[in-house]
Amino acid sequence: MSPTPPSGWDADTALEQLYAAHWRSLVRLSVLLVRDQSTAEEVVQDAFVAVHGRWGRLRDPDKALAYLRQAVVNRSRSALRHRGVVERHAARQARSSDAPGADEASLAADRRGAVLDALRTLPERQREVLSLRYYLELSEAEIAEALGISRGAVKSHASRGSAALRIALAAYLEDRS
Amino acid sequence: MTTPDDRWDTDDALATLVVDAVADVEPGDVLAGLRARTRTPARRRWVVPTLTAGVVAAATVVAVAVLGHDTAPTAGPTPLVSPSAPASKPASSAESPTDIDSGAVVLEPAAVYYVGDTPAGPRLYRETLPVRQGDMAGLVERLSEAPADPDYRTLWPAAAFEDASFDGAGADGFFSVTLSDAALAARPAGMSATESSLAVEAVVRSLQDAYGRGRVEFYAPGSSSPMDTVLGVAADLDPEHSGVRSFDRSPDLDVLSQVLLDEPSEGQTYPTGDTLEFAGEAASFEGNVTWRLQRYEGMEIIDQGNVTAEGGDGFYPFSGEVDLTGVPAGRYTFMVWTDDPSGEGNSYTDDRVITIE
Repeated sequence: MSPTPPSGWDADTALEQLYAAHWRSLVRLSVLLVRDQSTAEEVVQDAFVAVHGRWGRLRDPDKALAYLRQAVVNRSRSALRHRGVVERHAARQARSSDAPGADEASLAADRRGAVLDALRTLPERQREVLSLRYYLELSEAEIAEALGISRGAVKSHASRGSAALRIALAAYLEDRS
Repeated sequence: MTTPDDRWDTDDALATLVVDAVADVEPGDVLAGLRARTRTPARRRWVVPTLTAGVVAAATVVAVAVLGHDTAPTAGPTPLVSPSAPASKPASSAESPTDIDSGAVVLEPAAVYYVGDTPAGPRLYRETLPVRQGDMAGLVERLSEAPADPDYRTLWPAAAFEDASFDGAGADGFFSVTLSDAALAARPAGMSATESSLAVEAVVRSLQDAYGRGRVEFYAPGSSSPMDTVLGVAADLDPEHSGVRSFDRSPDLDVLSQVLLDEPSEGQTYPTGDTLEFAGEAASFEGNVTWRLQRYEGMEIIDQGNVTAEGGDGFYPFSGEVDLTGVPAGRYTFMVWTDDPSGEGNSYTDDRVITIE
Protein backbone atom coordinates (compact mmCIF):
# COMPACT_ATOMS: atom_id res chain seq x y z
CA MET A 1 0.00 0.00 0.00
CA SER A 2 2.30 2.70 1.22
CA PRO A 3 4.99 3.81 -1.16
CA THR A 4 8.74 3.62 -0.59
CA PRO A 5 10.52 4.26 2.68
CA PRO A 6 9.02 7.44 4.10
CA SER A 7 11.82 8.62 6.29
CA GLY A 8 13.94 9.61 3.32
CA TRP A 9 11.38 12.08 2.04
CA ASP A 10 11.72 15.72 2.81
CA ALA A 11 8.62 17.91 2.94
CA ASP A 12 8.88 18.90 -0.73
CA THR A 13 9.20 15.31 -1.95
CA ALA A 14 6.34 14.25 0.30
CA LEU A 15 4.19 17.01 -1.15
CA GLU A 16 4.88 15.89 -4.70
CA GLN A 17 4.29 12.23 -3.99
CA LEU A 18 1.07 12.87 -2.12
CA TYR A 19 -0.07 15.25 -4.80
CA ALA A 20 0.57 12.73 -7.56
CA ALA A 21 -1.28 10.00 -5.71
CA HIS A 22 -4.17 11.83 -4.10
CA TRP A 23 -4.87 15.25 -5.60
CA ARG A 24 -7.68 14.14 -7.87
CA SER A 25 -9.38 11.81 -5.40
CA LEU A 26 -9.28 14.38 -2.61
CA VAL A 27 -10.77 17.07 -4.85
CA ARG A 28 -13.53 14.63 -5.76
CA LEU A 29 -14.09 13.86 -2.11
CA SER A 30 -14.38 17.55 -1.38
CA VAL A 31 -16.82 18.02 -4.27
CA LEU A 32 -19.06 15.43 -2.60
CA LEU A 33 -18.95 17.59 0.51
CA VAL A 34 -19.10 21.15 -0.84
CA ARG A 35 -20.34 20.48 -4.36
CA ASP A 36 -18.57 23.45 -5.92
CA GLN A 37 -15.42 22.31 -7.72
CA SER A 38 -13.39 25.49 -7.46
CA THR A 39 -14.05 25.61 -3.71
CA ALA A 40 -13.03 21.96 -3.49
CA GLU A 41 -9.77 22.70 -5.29
CA GLU A 42 -9.01 25.54 -2.90
CA VAL A 43 -9.81 23.40 0.10
CA VAL A 44 -7.55 20.58 -1.03
CA GLN A 45 -4.69 22.90 -1.97
CA ASP A 46 -4.84 24.41 1.51
CA ALA A 47 -4.77 20.92 2.96
CA PHE A 48 -1.63 20.08 0.95
CA VAL A 49 0.05 23.26 2.11
CA ALA A 50 -0.83 22.33 5.70
CA VAL A 51 0.57 18.82 5.40
CA HIS A 52 3.75 20.23 3.90
CA GLY A 53 4.13 22.54 6.88
CA ARG A 54 3.49 19.67 9.24
CA TRP A 55 5.77 17.15 7.57
CA GLY A 56 8.36 17.42 10.34
CA ARG A 57 5.81 15.92 12.67
CA LEU A 58 4.18 13.40 10.39
CA ARG A 59 7.11 11.84 8.52
CA ASP A 60 5.04 8.92 7.43
CA PRO A 61 2.92 8.84 4.27
CA ASP A 62 0.15 6.88 5.96
CA LYS A 63 -0.14 9.41 8.74
CA ALA A 64 0.18 12.21 6.23
CA LEU A 65 -2.68 10.76 4.20
CA ALA A 66 -4.87 10.45 7.29
CA TYR A 67 -4.01 14.04 8.16
CA LEU A 68 -4.75 15.18 4.61
CA ARG A 69 -8.15 13.52 4.63
CA GLN A 70 -8.98 15.01 7.97
CA ALA A 71 -7.88 18.44 6.80
CA VAL A 72 -9.97 18.12 3.63
CA VAL A 73 -13.10 17.12 5.54
CA ASN A 74 -12.64 19.83 8.17
CA ARG A 75 -11.82 22.53 5.68
CA SER A 76 -14.72 21.53 3.45
CA ARG A 77 -17.04 21.85 6.41
CA SER A 78 -15.66 25.21 7.31
CA ALA A 79 -15.81 26.41 3.70
CA LEU A 80 -19.48 25.49 3.62
CA ARG A 81 -20.14 27.42 6.76
CA HIS A 82 -18.13 30.47 6.00
CA ARG A 83 -18.23 31.12 2.35
CA GLY A 84 -21.78 30.55 1.25
CA VAL A 85 -20.54 27.88 -1.12
CA VAL A 86 -24.00 26.56 -1.73
CA GLU A 87 -25.30 29.90 -2.89
CA ARG A 88 -22.30 30.43 -5.12
CA HIS A 89 -22.79 27.09 -6.72
CA ALA A 90 -26.49 27.73 -7.23
CA ALA A 91 -25.72 31.02 -8.93
CA ARG A 92 -23.21 29.40 -11.23
CA GLN A 93 -25.64 26.64 -12.11
CA ALA A 94 -28.37 29.12 -12.92
CA ARG A 95 -26.07 30.90 -15.32
CA SER A 96 -24.95 27.79 -17.13
CA SER A 97 -28.22 25.91 -17.37
CA ASP A 98 -29.01 25.79 -21.03
CA ALA A 99 -31.76 23.66 -22.51
CA PRO A 100 -30.76 20.08 -21.79
CA GLY A 101 -30.76 17.56 -24.59
CA ALA A 102 -32.03 14.07 -23.89
CA ASP A 103 -28.79 12.41 -24.92
CA GLU A 104 -26.71 10.02 -22.86
CA ALA A 105 -24.34 12.67 -21.60
CA SER A 106 -27.05 14.88 -20.24
CA LEU A 107 -28.73 11.91 -18.56
CA ALA A 108 -25.47 11.17 -16.78
CA ALA A 109 -25.13 14.81 -15.83
CA ASP A 110 -28.65 14.83 -14.44
CA ARG A 111 -27.97 11.72 -12.41
CA ARG A 112 -24.75 13.16 -11.02
CA GLY A 113 -26.51 16.36 -10.13
CA ALA A 114 -29.28 14.44 -8.39
CA VAL A 115 -26.78 12.49 -6.30
CA LEU A 116 -24.92 15.64 -5.26
CA ASP A 117 -28.22 17.35 -4.48
CA ALA A 118 -29.30 14.40 -2.37
CA LEU A 119 -26.02 14.50 -0.46
CA ARG A 120 -26.53 18.20 0.13
CA THR A 121 -29.82 17.58 1.89
CA LEU A 122 -28.19 15.32 4.48
CA PRO A 123 -26.92 16.65 7.82
CA GLU A 124 -23.20 17.33 7.51
CA ARG A 125 -22.04 14.37 9.58
CA GLN A 126 -24.06 11.93 7.53
CA ARG A 127 -22.74 13.44 4.33
CA GLU A 128 -19.17 13.20 5.61
CA VAL A 129 -19.51 9.63 6.80
CA LEU A 130 -21.09 8.44 3.56
CA SER A 131 -18.55 10.25 1.36
CA LEU A 132 -15.64 8.70 3.24
CA ARG A 133 -17.32 5.33 3.18
CA TYR A 134 -18.50 5.17 -0.41
CA TYR A 135 -15.91 7.26 -2.14
CA LEU A 136 -12.71 6.58 -0.22
CA GLU A 137 -13.91 3.18 1.00
CA LEU A 138 -12.60 3.88 4.46
CA SER A 139 -13.29 1.48 7.31
CA GLU A 140 -15.51 2.41 10.18
CA ALA A 141 -12.45 2.91 12.39
CA GLU A 142 -10.73 5.14 9.84
CA ILE A 143 -13.86 7.26 9.48
CA ALA A 144 -14.17 7.56 13.24
CA GLU A 145 -10.59 8.76 13.38
CA ALA A 146 -10.94 11.17 10.48
CA LEU A 147 -14.04 12.78 11.93
CA GLY A 148 -13.11 12.58 15.60
CA ILE A 149 -16.29 10.75 16.53
CA SER A 150 -16.95 7.32 18.01
CA ARG A 151 -17.45 4.25 15.89
CA GLY A 152 -20.96 3.98 17.24
CA ALA A 153 -21.67 7.44 15.88
CA VAL A 154 -20.16 6.51 12.52
CA LYS A 155 -22.51 3.54 12.35
CA SER A 156 -25.60 5.51 13.16
CA HIS A 157 -24.75 8.39 10.78
CA ALA A 158 -24.06 5.83 8.05
CA SER A 159 -27.29 3.96 8.50
CA ARG A 160 -29.46 7.06 8.75
CA GLY A 161 -27.69 8.72 5.85
CA SER A 162 -27.85 5.73 3.54
CA ALA A 163 -31.52 5.22 4.34
CA ALA A 164 -32.25 8.82 3.38
CA LEU A 165 -30.16 8.55 0.21
CA ARG A 166 -31.88 5.35 -0.83
CA ILE A 167 -35.21 7.14 -0.68
CA ALA A 168 -34.01 10.29 -2.42
CA LEU A 169 -32.33 8.31 -5.19
CA ALA A 170 -34.86 5.51 -5.51
CA ALA A 171 -35.44 6.21 -9.19
CA TYR A 172 -31.77 5.81 -10.06
CA LEU A 173 -31.31 2.76 -7.88
CA GLU A 174 -34.17 0.97 -9.59
CA ASP A 175 -32.71 1.77 -12.99
CA ARG A 176 -29.58 -0.06 -12.09
CA SER A 177 -30.95 -3.19 -10.55
CA MET B 1 -22.98 -5.28 16.53
CA THR B 2 -21.69 -8.77 16.02
CA THR B 3 -20.24 -8.24 12.58
CA PRO B 4 -16.47 -8.40 12.45
CA ASP B 5 -14.34 -5.33 12.66
CA ASP B 6 -14.52 -2.84 9.83
CA ARG B 7 -17.21 -4.70 7.98
CA TRP B 8 -19.95 -2.67 6.32
CA ASP B 9 -23.19 -3.97 5.00
CA THR B 10 -22.45 -3.70 1.36
CA ASP B 11 -24.50 -1.12 -0.36
CA ASP B 12 -22.95 -1.33 -3.76
CA ALA B 13 -25.60 0.38 -5.81
CA LEU B 14 -25.55 3.46 -3.63
CA ALA B 15 -21.75 3.47 -3.50
CA THR B 16 -21.61 3.25 -7.30
CA LEU B 17 -23.93 6.24 -7.63
CA VAL B 18 -21.85 8.32 -5.23
CA VAL B 19 -18.55 7.42 -6.87
CA ASP B 20 -20.04 8.14 -10.27
CA ALA B 21 -21.36 11.51 -9.12
CA VAL B 22 -17.84 12.93 -9.16
CA ALA B 23 -16.38 10.77 -11.90
CA ASP B 24 -16.35 13.71 -14.30
CA VAL B 25 -14.53 16.02 -11.92
CA GLU B 26 -11.09 16.64 -13.36
CA PRO B 27 -9.22 19.21 -11.30
CA GLY B 28 -6.55 21.29 -12.96
CA ASP B 29 -2.87 20.77 -12.29
CA VAL B 30 -1.86 23.05 -9.43
CA LEU B 31 1.43 21.46 -8.42
CA ALA B 32 3.44 24.47 -9.59
CA GLY B 33 1.27 26.75 -7.49
CA LEU B 34 1.59 24.47 -4.50
CA ARG B 35 5.37 24.43 -4.85
CA ALA B 36 5.36 28.20 -4.92
CA ARG B 37 3.20 28.40 -1.80
CA THR B 38 5.39 26.00 0.13
CA ARG B 39 8.76 27.25 -1.08
CA THR B 40 9.00 30.20 1.29
CA PRO B 41 12.00 30.04 3.61
CA ALA B 42 10.89 28.67 6.95
CA ARG B 43 9.72 31.73 8.72
CA ARG B 44 7.11 29.91 10.61
CA ARG B 45 8.26 28.56 13.90
CA TRP B 46 6.37 26.65 16.49
CA VAL B 47 6.76 27.60 20.09
CA VAL B 48 5.45 25.62 22.98
CA PRO B 49 4.73 27.95 25.87
CA THR B 50 6.16 26.63 29.10
CA LEU B 51 3.65 28.37 31.31
CA THR B 52 0.82 25.96 30.71
CA ALA B 53 2.51 22.82 31.99
CA GLY B 54 0.12 20.76 34.03
CA VAL B 55 -0.68 17.18 34.71
CA VAL B 56 -3.12 17.14 31.88
CA ALA B 57 -0.27 17.86 29.51
CA ALA B 58 -0.67 14.32 28.25
CA ALA B 59 -3.76 15.46 26.44
CA THR B 60 -2.60 18.98 25.90
CA VAL B 61 -0.86 20.06 22.77
CA VAL B 62 -0.62 23.77 22.66
CA ALA B 63 1.02 25.41 19.76
CA VAL B 64 1.44 29.03 18.92
CA ALA B 65 2.60 29.96 15.48
CA VAL B 66 5.05 32.82 15.53
CA LEU B 67 5.92 34.66 12.40
CA GLY B 68 9.34 36.12 12.48
CA HIS B 69 11.85 37.29 9.97
CA ASP B 70 15.14 35.97 11.09
CA THR B 71 14.30 32.62 12.53
CA ALA B 72 15.83 29.26 11.90
CA PRO B 73 16.86 27.87 8.54
CA THR B 74 14.83 25.66 6.26
CA ALA B 75 13.83 22.62 8.24
CA GLY B 76 10.20 23.60 8.60
CA PRO B 77 8.34 23.50 11.85
CA THR B 78 10.16 21.84 14.68
CA PRO B 79 8.25 18.96 16.18
CA LEU B 80 5.75 19.87 18.82
CA VAL B 81 5.38 18.11 22.09
CA SER B 82 4.27 14.65 21.17
CA PRO B 83 0.62 14.24 22.09
CA SER B 84 1.50 10.84 23.47
CA ALA B 85 4.33 11.96 25.75
CA PRO B 86 2.74 11.62 29.14
CA ALA B 87 3.54 14.18 31.79
CA SER B 88 2.07 11.92 34.40
CA LYS B 89 0.47 8.54 34.45
CA PRO B 90 -3.29 8.22 34.39
CA ALA B 91 -4.63 8.82 37.83
CA SER B 92 -6.71 5.73 38.33
CA SER B 93 -7.42 2.31 36.94
CA ALA B 94 -10.69 3.62 35.56
CA GLU B 95 -8.60 5.30 32.91
CA SER B 96 -7.18 2.22 31.32
CA PRO B 97 -8.33 1.52 27.77
CA THR B 98 -11.82 0.14 27.57
CA ASP B 99 -13.77 -1.73 24.98
CA ILE B 100 -16.71 0.25 23.70
CA ASP B 101 -18.61 -0.24 20.45
CA SER B 102 -16.77 -3.51 19.94
CA GLY B 103 -13.60 -1.68 18.92
CA ALA B 104 -10.55 -0.97 21.03
CA VAL B 105 -10.91 2.55 22.31
CA VAL B 106 -8.01 4.61 23.48
CA LEU B 107 -8.84 6.77 26.45
CA GLU B 108 -6.81 9.82 27.31
CA PRO B 109 -6.96 11.94 30.42
CA ALA B 110 -8.62 15.27 29.67
CA ALA B 111 -9.35 18.25 31.88
CA VAL B 112 -13.08 18.92 32.15
CA TYR B 113 -14.00 22.23 33.78
CA TYR B 114 -16.76 22.67 36.34
CA VAL B 115 -17.81 25.44 38.66
CA GLY B 116 -17.16 25.61 42.39
CA ASP B 117 -17.15 28.28 45.06
CA THR B 118 -14.19 30.38 46.21
CA PRO B 119 -13.77 33.44 48.42
CA ALA B 120 -14.14 35.49 45.22
CA GLY B 121 -17.40 33.82 44.19
CA PRO B 122 -17.87 31.04 41.66
CA ARG B 123 -14.78 30.03 39.70
CA LEU B 124 -13.75 27.13 37.49
CA TYR B 125 -12.22 23.94 38.84
CA ARG B 126 -11.47 20.86 36.79
CA GLU B 127 -11.52 17.10 36.91
CA THR B 128 -9.19 14.87 34.98
CA LEU B 129 -11.46 12.41 33.23
CA PRO B 130 -10.85 9.63 30.74
CA VAL B 131 -12.14 10.65 27.34
CA ARG B 132 -11.91 8.75 24.08
CA GLN B 133 -8.98 9.94 22.05
CA GLY B 134 -10.08 12.64 19.64
CA ASP B 135 -13.69 12.46 20.73
CA MET B 136 -14.58 16.14 21.07
CA ALA B 137 -18.30 15.47 21.22
CA GLY B 138 -17.68 13.04 24.08
CA LEU B 139 -15.56 15.62 25.88
CA VAL B 140 -18.17 18.38 25.78
CA GLU B 141 -20.84 15.89 26.75
CA ARG B 142 -19.03 15.46 30.05
CA LEU B 143 -19.55 19.17 30.69
CA SER B 144 -23.28 18.71 30.99
CA GLU B 145 -22.99 15.71 33.30
CA ALA B 146 -22.58 15.87 37.05
CA PRO B 147 -18.94 16.05 38.19
CA ALA B 148 -17.57 13.31 40.47
CA ASP B 149 -16.56 15.86 43.13
CA PRO B 150 -19.66 17.00 45.06
CA ASP B 151 -18.00 20.41 45.63
CA TYR B 152 -18.36 21.15 41.94
CA ARG B 153 -21.35 21.61 39.72
CA THR B 154 -22.06 21.96 36.05
CA LEU B 155 -23.96 24.98 34.85
CA TRP B 156 -25.08 23.34 31.63
CA PRO B 157 -28.44 21.60 31.46
CA ALA B 158 -28.31 17.85 30.85
CA ALA B 159 -27.67 16.85 27.23
CA ALA B 160 -26.98 20.45 26.24
CA PHE B 161 -24.47 19.44 23.57
CA GLU B 162 -25.16 17.73 20.32
CA ASP B 163 -21.74 17.69 18.73
CA ALA B 164 -18.30 19.23 18.73
CA SER B 165 -15.62 19.25 16.08
CA PHE B 166 -12.58 21.11 14.91
CA ASP B 167 -12.72 22.94 11.59
CA GLY B 168 -9.15 23.20 10.56
CA ALA B 169 -5.92 21.35 10.92
CA GLY B 170 -3.24 21.52 13.55
CA ALA B 171 -3.42 24.68 15.60
CA ASP B 172 -4.95 26.46 12.70
CA GLY B 173 -8.73 26.67 12.85
CA PHE B 174 -11.63 26.81 15.24
CA PHE B 175 -13.87 24.53 17.22
CA SER B 176 -17.56 24.18 16.42
CA VAL B 177 -19.86 23.20 19.22
CA THR B 178 -23.46 22.40 18.33
CA LEU B 179 -25.94 22.91 21.14
CA SER B 180 -29.05 20.79 21.43
CA ASP B 181 -31.40 23.72 21.87
CA ALA B 182 -31.48 27.15 20.24
CA ALA B 183 -32.91 28.54 23.51
CA LEU B 184 -29.43 28.20 25.02
CA ALA B 185 -28.58 31.45 23.27
CA ALA B 186 -30.21 33.25 26.19
CA ARG B 187 -29.23 33.21 29.84
CA PRO B 188 -31.49 30.78 31.67
CA ALA B 189 -33.57 32.11 34.55
CA GLY B 190 -31.72 31.84 37.84
CA MET B 191 -28.24 31.89 36.30
CA SER B 192 -26.04 34.88 37.13
CA ALA B 193 -24.00 36.70 34.52
CA THR B 194 -20.80 35.43 36.15
CA GLU B 195 -22.08 31.87 36.07
CA SER B 196 -23.06 32.06 32.42
CA SER B 197 -19.65 33.34 31.38
CA LEU B 198 -18.02 30.59 33.43
CA ALA B 199 -20.22 28.01 31.72
CA VAL B 200 -19.06 29.19 28.29
CA GLU B 201 -15.48 29.42 29.53
CA ALA B 202 -15.70 25.79 30.72
CA VAL B 203 -16.40 24.66 27.16
CA VAL B 204 -13.63 26.80 25.70
CA ARG B 205 -11.02 25.66 28.21
CA SER B 206 -11.92 21.98 28.09
CA LEU B 207 -11.57 21.94 24.29
CA GLN B 208 -8.48 24.11 24.18
CA ASP B 209 -6.64 22.21 26.90
CA ALA B 210 -7.22 18.95 25.08
CA TYR B 211 -6.93 19.96 21.45
CA GLY B 212 -5.13 23.29 21.05
CA ARG B 213 -5.89 26.95 21.09
CA GLY B 214 -8.55 27.38 18.42
CA ARG B 215 -11.39 29.79 19.04
CA VAL B 216 -14.78 28.25 19.72
CA GLU B 217 -17.97 28.83 17.75
CA PHE B 218 -21.35 27.68 18.96
CA TYR B 219 -24.15 26.64 16.64
CA ALA B 220 -27.84 26.17 17.26
CA PRO B 221 -29.07 22.79 16.02
CA GLY B 222 -29.45 22.76 12.24
CA SER B 223 -28.02 26.25 11.85
CA SER B 224 -24.95 27.03 9.80
CA SER B 225 -24.06 30.42 11.23
CA PRO B 226 -22.39 30.78 14.60
CA MET B 227 -24.52 32.05 17.48
CA ASP B 228 -24.04 35.68 18.55
CA THR B 229 -24.75 34.87 22.18
CA VAL B 230 -24.50 31.72 24.27
CA LEU B 231 -26.30 31.64 27.63
CA GLY B 232 -26.57 35.38 27.18
CA VAL B 233 -22.80 35.86 26.81
CA ALA B 234 -21.89 37.79 23.67
CA ALA B 235 -19.30 36.22 21.41
CA ASP B 236 -16.37 38.31 20.18
CA LEU B 237 -15.99 39.27 16.58
CA ASP B 238 -13.33 36.92 15.34
CA PRO B 239 -10.30 38.96 14.29
CA GLU B 240 -9.46 36.52 11.52
CA HIS B 241 -12.88 35.83 10.08
CA SER B 242 -14.63 39.11 9.67
CA GLY B 243 -18.22 39.11 10.75
CA VAL B 244 -17.96 35.75 12.49
CA ARG B 245 -18.46 35.54 16.23
CA SER B 246 -16.61 33.14 18.47
CA PHE B 247 -15.15 32.73 21.94
CA ASP B 248 -11.63 32.51 23.26
CA ARG B 249 -10.41 31.85 26.78
CA SER B 250 -10.34 34.62 29.38
CA PRO B 251 -7.28 35.33 31.56
CA ASP B 252 -6.63 32.55 34.12
CA LEU B 253 -6.93 34.79 37.16
CA ASP B 254 -10.37 36.02 36.08
CA VAL B 255 -11.95 32.62 35.80
CA LEU B 256 -9.99 29.90 37.63
CA SER B 257 -9.90 29.01 41.29
CA GLN B 258 -6.42 29.97 42.45
CA VAL B 259 -5.68 26.37 43.33
CA LEU B 260 -6.63 23.37 41.21
CA LEU B 261 -5.98 19.73 42.11
CA ASP B 262 -5.51 17.51 39.08
CA GLU B 263 -4.39 14.45 40.99
CA PRO B 264 -5.68 12.48 42.91
CA SER B 265 -9.14 12.14 41.42
CA GLU B 266 -12.28 12.05 43.50
CA GLY B 267 -12.84 8.62 45.03
CA GLN B 268 -9.37 7.32 44.20
CA THR B 269 -8.32 4.22 46.14
CA TYR B 270 -4.89 3.38 47.56
CA PRO B 271 -3.62 0.16 49.13
CA THR B 272 -2.35 0.66 52.67
CA GLY B 273 1.28 1.67 52.73
CA ASP B 274 1.13 3.13 49.22
CA THR B 275 2.24 6.63 48.28
CA LEU B 276 -0.28 9.32 47.44
CA GLU B 277 1.00 11.48 44.62
CA PHE B 278 -0.68 14.82 44.15
CA ALA B 279 -0.36 17.51 41.52
CA GLY B 280 -2.11 20.63 40.39
CA GLU B 281 -1.69 24.28 39.55
CA ALA B 282 -1.88 27.30 41.79
CA ALA B 283 -1.49 31.06 41.80
CA SER B 284 -0.54 31.56 45.42
CA PHE B 285 1.32 34.19 47.41
CA GLU B 286 5.02 33.35 46.99
CA GLY B 287 3.90 30.14 45.32
CA ASN B 288 3.10 28.60 48.66
CA VAL B 289 0.60 25.72 48.70
CA THR B 290 -0.29 23.83 51.89
CA TRP B 291 -1.62 20.28 51.74
CA ARG B 292 -3.28 18.19 54.39
CA LEU B 293 -4.49 14.63 54.73
CA GLN B 294 -7.21 14.22 57.30
CA ARG B 295 -9.78 11.64 58.31
CA TYR B 296 -13.05 12.12 56.46
CA GLU B 297 -14.95 11.48 59.67
CA GLY B 298 -13.68 13.17 62.79
CA MET B 299 -11.21 15.26 60.80
CA GLU B 300 -8.17 13.97 62.63
CA ILE B 301 -5.13 15.37 60.83
CA ILE B 302 -2.85 12.60 59.56
CA ASP B 303 -0.20 14.66 57.85
CA GLN B 304 0.37 18.16 56.54
CA GLY B 305 3.04 19.98 54.59
CA ASN B 306 3.94 22.65 52.05
CA VAL B 307 4.97 22.65 48.45
CA THR B 308 5.60 25.52 46.09
CA ALA B 309 4.09 26.41 42.76
CA GLU B 310 7.04 28.46 41.65
CA GLY B 311 7.46 30.81 38.75
CA GLY B 312 6.19 34.27 39.56
CA ASP B 313 2.81 35.86 39.05
CA GLY B 314 0.11 33.61 37.69
CA PHE B 315 -0.49 29.88 37.71
CA TYR B 316 2.32 27.37 38.16
CA PRO B 317 2.33 23.63 38.67
CA PHE B 318 2.94 22.06 42.06
CA SER B 319 3.27 18.42 43.06
CA GLY B 320 4.26 16.25 45.98
CA GLU B 321 3.92 12.90 47.68
CA VAL B 322 2.40 11.68 50.92
CA ASP B 323 3.69 8.45 52.41
CA LEU B 324 0.71 6.39 53.53
CA THR B 325 2.75 3.91 55.57
CA GLY B 326 0.98 3.26 58.84
CA VAL B 327 -2.15 5.16 57.81
CA PRO B 328 -5.08 2.84 58.64
CA ALA B 329 -7.71 1.87 56.08
CA GLY B 330 -10.65 4.24 55.76
CA ARG B 331 -11.88 7.38 54.01
CA TYR B 332 -9.80 10.53 54.01
CA THR B 333 -9.95 14.06 52.70
CA PHE B 334 -6.90 15.32 50.86
CA MET B 335 -6.94 19.10 50.63
CA VAL B 336 -4.71 21.89 49.34
CA TRP B 337 -4.99 25.62 49.87
CA THR B 338 -3.26 28.83 48.91
CA ASP B 339 -1.50 31.23 51.26
CA ASP B 340 -3.54 34.05 52.61
CA PRO B 341 -1.20 36.80 53.76
CA SER B 342 -4.21 38.96 54.67
CA GLY B 343 -5.30 36.44 57.28
CA GLU B 344 -8.90 37.21 56.42
CA GLY B 345 -9.95 33.77 55.32
CA ASN B 346 -9.30 34.41 51.64
CA SER B 347 -7.57 31.13 50.92
CA TYR B 348 -8.60 29.23 47.85
CA THR B 349 -8.93 25.52 48.41
CA ASP B 350 -9.55 22.31 46.53
CA ASP B 351 -9.98 18.81 47.94
CA ARG B 352 -10.62 15.17 47.09
CA VAL B 353 -12.09 12.35 49.11
CA ILE B 354 -9.92 9.24 48.81
CA THR B 355 -10.00 5.74 50.28
CA ILE B 356 -7.20 3.67 51.74
CA GLU B 357 -7.95 -0.05 51.87
